[in-house]
Amino acid sequence: MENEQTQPSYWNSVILASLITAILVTAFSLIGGYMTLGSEPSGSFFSSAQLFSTIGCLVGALGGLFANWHYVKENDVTYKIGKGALLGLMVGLGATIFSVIISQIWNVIDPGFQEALIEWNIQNLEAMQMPAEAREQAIAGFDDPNSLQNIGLQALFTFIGLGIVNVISGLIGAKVFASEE
Amino acid sequence: MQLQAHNKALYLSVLTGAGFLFLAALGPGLLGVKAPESFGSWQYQIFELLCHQDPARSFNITGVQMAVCSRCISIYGFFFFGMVSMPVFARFKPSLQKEEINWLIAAILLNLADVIGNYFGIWSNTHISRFLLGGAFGITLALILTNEFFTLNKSE
Repeated sequence: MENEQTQPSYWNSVILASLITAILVTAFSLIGGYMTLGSEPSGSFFSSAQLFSTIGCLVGALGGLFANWHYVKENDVTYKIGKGALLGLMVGLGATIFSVIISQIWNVIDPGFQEALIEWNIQNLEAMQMPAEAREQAIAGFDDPNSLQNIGLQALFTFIGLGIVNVISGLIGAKVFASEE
Repeated sequence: MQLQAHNKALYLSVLTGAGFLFLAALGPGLLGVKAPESFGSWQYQIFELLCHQDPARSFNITGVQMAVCSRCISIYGFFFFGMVSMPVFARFKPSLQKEEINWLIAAILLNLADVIGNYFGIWSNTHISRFLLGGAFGITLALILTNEFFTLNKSE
């Protein structure tokens, strides 16, 4: 096995893991969205169609693990868990960027999707048992999802979630696959 | 025998991240936000791509749904608890990496079996069963990392 001083680049593994993670989480999100649109607004905070995603729970956390496995498999190296965490963090960042890009491409393919989801959510809010004032306030909160500010905010929140869970899965990946023990 | 800490900066970073994730996963109800205003809260957005957030499978705080399901809140909670308790774990366990990996695999298989059994109608899982199985997974994740951050120095 190669030592840490002469280790090869990990970018291939990071980019591959980021892409796979982004495709999976975006696909689950889009399929969940279309299933939501195919259901009646029930007045619940979340659509029962999201149950589909039960199988996808935490799938976004596997990127860090996969990147470490792929890097070790391709290069036959060992390293400390700090590097595994770094790989996981970069997978979280990469997956966020790719998922924003895929979502924007989907907006071109189906321009009415986001608007239909907002419309569904407004109807859902109207079906809720809540004071009219609170309902109006919530409906007013639906900004244009394609504005730069909202895309940036959504990307930030996605990165916080994907970043932290992939750091943890990166630590586990390094411990299991790259440990010298 | 004396407890020795390693990778301190990394440990503190992961501990902080795990703590933040756990608190965020508890949802807007933790901050006293009422149900109507909680719609679209940042806590829900953080976990939007990580958890199905199904209301029927989630706990509530003051009537406001948590940001993740009962299995996920247990994973985050027990992982954070495991991170906090690492110095204690290290005092009680020698380096048994293979054993820990087997525990982790067992926890993953148990959770998978629970999801699949429930999906095909073989049994119906509950908040509590999902919480316990998620917790087993979360704690084994922390256990497997213990020796990377804390070990017992036997020479002293």
